[in-house]
Amino acid sequence: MAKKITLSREFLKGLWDENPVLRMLLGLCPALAVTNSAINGLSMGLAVIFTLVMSSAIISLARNIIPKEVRIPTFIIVIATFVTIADKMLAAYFPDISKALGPFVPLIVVNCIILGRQEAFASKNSVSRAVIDAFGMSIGFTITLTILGSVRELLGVGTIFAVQIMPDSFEPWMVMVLQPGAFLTLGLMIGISNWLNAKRAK
Amino acid sequence: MENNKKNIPEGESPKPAAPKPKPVEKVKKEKPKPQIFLLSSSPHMATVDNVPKIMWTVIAALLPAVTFGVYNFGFSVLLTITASVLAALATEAVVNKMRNKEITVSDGSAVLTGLLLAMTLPPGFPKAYAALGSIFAIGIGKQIFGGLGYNIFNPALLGRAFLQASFSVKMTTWVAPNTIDAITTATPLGSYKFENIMTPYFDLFMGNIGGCIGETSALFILIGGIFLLIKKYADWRIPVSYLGTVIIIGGLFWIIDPSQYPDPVFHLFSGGLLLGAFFMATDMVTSPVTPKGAWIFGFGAGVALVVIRLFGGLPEGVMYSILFMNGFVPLINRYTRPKYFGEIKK
Amino acid sequence: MTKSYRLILVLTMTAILSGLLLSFLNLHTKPLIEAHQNNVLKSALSSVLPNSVKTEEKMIENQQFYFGYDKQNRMNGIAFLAEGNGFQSKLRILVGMDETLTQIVKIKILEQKETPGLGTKIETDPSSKSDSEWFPNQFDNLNVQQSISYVKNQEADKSNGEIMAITGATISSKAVVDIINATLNKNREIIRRNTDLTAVSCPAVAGVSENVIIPNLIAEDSEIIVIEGKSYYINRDNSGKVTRVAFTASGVGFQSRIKVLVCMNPDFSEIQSLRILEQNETPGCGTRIIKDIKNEMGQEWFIKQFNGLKVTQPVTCVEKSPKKSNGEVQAISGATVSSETIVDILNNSIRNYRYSYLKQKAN
Repeated sequence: MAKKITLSREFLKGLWDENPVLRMLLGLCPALAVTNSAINGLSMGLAVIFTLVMSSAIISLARNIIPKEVRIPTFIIVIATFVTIADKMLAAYFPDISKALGPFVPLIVVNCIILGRQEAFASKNSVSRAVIDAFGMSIGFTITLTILGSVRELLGVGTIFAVQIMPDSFEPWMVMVLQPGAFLTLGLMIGISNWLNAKRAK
Repeated sequence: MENNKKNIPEGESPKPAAPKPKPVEKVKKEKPKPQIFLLSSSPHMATVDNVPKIMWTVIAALLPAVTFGVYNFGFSVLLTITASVLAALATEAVVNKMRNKEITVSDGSAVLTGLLLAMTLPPGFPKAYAALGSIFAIGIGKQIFGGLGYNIFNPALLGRAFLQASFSVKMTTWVAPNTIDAITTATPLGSYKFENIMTPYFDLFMGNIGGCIGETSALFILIGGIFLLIKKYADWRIPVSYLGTVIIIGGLFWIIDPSQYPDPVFHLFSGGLLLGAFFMATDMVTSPVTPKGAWIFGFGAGVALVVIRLFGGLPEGVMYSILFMNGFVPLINRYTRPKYFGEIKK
Repeated sequence: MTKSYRLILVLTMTAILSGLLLSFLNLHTKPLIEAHQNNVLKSALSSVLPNSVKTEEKMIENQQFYFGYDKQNRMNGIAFLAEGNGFQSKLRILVGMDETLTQIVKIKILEQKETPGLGTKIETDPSSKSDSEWFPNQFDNLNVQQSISYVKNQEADKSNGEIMAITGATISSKAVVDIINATLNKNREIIRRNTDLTAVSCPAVAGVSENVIIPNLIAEDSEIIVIEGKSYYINRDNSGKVTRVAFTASGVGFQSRIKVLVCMNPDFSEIQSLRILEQNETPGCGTRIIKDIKNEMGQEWFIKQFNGLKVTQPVTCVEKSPKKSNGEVQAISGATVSSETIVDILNNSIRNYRYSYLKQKAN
């Protein structure tokens, strides 16, 4: 692993250069499924931040204990534990959000971002680096999902975080809060990010 | 040939276009206008057909139905059509500019998309949303794939699908023809599906019914459609197999239980079937290039249509049936590719 | 060897730690989650049964019922869950009804994931400025003597069980109606079969169990004679002249066997009186053939119509304004099938019994 990278770069890479959704196309299932409103996108992101940071910290701590042969099962147990914690806490304290996110919180277990970061990063780096990397990745994920949810909510309902933005005369584009809207918006967002990168490369 | 080649790089040909990532070689022998883009060995023959000519001819073929729509639903639908066409042209120009490509506004394809989209909208549909549909049709439906010739789905239908999913209430509010105050009514398919009321055949045929701007009159669509077939700008196999499948399968259900399923004549003349069969399914870019493929395409669309009409939640299924089959076109092209001479079956 | 011990040890320790952590978490969150779910149900129940001060949960034939009671501890409402498929998701609806299961008090959509902006209007419609819950509110005090139906683009007749469908979401609207109808029919059956559980405080349903009381019409002194296998109950006056001939007859009504006792003049020209001995029709609907609690003509207006009815020609059933001289009786609106069954039973049995009796008499 490139140890030369500064900690701040380690954090920032998750926001743009290695943004899990826009650049690595990981975790697309929740990105498409739950982002019909900004709050759902944000809460999904927060759940992922919690799970990813905690798992990365634990895995990184235990990276020298875990034998290579059983690393994947161990990762999965650790991840599943934190996902269950997140799920139960949401159900106990934020039942409405828990209802809106439905099965997608438990499904964080199989989210590629999390297992991917354990395998590629946390199990090979120090705790501080792993945690910073996890924060960067999951915040990048959260920001992307929140933007995706905001765009869809704005066009599909006329609000962002349930605050009326569009004038009353605006007729919501229903399609944006339906499944096609997720694909359209995500596709355009990836397109724009590619375009920006191409421009920067010039 | 030189002249024609200019059109090729933009992939504007509604005939199997050379730049399309499709295995089109060798199939041209059976196509109506095979000479233009044939990538076969010599001899070559020049032709006067090119994209603008074909597009403007198709637009001309649509004029009878458009004129009748304006006569039927009043002057305001002319504004809807204008809004849709202008938005399509503007989007085409803007996206061309953004992509640093030649401005292809004058080739008529954007006008055709805008016009077709407007014809499939309900008469009272807000003009701004019609324009939005056009922007989607050209921007997302066509240009994002790389422009004319590269799009997978019929842009006009994609625009309509977007509008249908976005403004489903407005897209299903119909006004009765020849009324001053826009009395809402149901389409013949809607009244059949939800209230079990049949519409007289004569009204269906002439178009004195509720429905989209350009789809109501079977007569005027047939005039334009047959003109297109005679000019060979549309593959006759597609409307024949599409309509034939609908008649046969719809007829089978009708024979099984006439009280529950409408008869094939009703299927044929109601909704947008004729408009779809002659002007949308035959879109040269999004339909198969091989004759066998055309038969399969029409058959599949016919089956999908009958299933949607009889068993789906929606009264009409022309749009989805064609879009559905559009998605299969690359596959159909691949599996109906003719063998070249001497090829050994693997 | 040590290697595999280590593998096992690490995995086991991880699993044990994880299990411990989660069990502590569960101890903490479980009561919270349960309390939350209970609150949801409780508030839903109190909204669909607003007149009840307490509710009681009862499981009857695998179906959950919530019985509501007023201050005097009389049952004044029944609520139940209706579940089924909507346009694209499962719908769970809590339906609160009056104690006779003939009128909806209020419904509450507990769960739905229909198309946002369209199908979700079955729960709330943010686009309606006046009443965002106009769709579920249509069910308030909805008369459902038979079943609910929906109309489009026209005023709904609430007294006839009609509601207005949502424009653009007909299928979701229809699903709500169908789900409630299906569950209601099933539950009426269950309640009827288990009448004694609820009979005390459920008048219309109680009416069903009342029908076992055979009226004292067959006087003790009536003699039974059998002609061609048919039993006649004969009453005579002091001079020995026959004053009344009675017999029983039965037929299949809307959902059950209906058995009637017919008392006739000796010449079989006129019905003296009619009693229903047995029936198990839909509570609140078909049961009105014996007891119609809401009719101003009296609870027994239907069977009383037959008293003194001339039957020289077949009896017919009409929708309204019957002419008694023509042998017409009025059907119960909402229980036409049950009404017509009784008329059919009469017509068939009178013809049969008249023939045998008069033939015997002539001999």
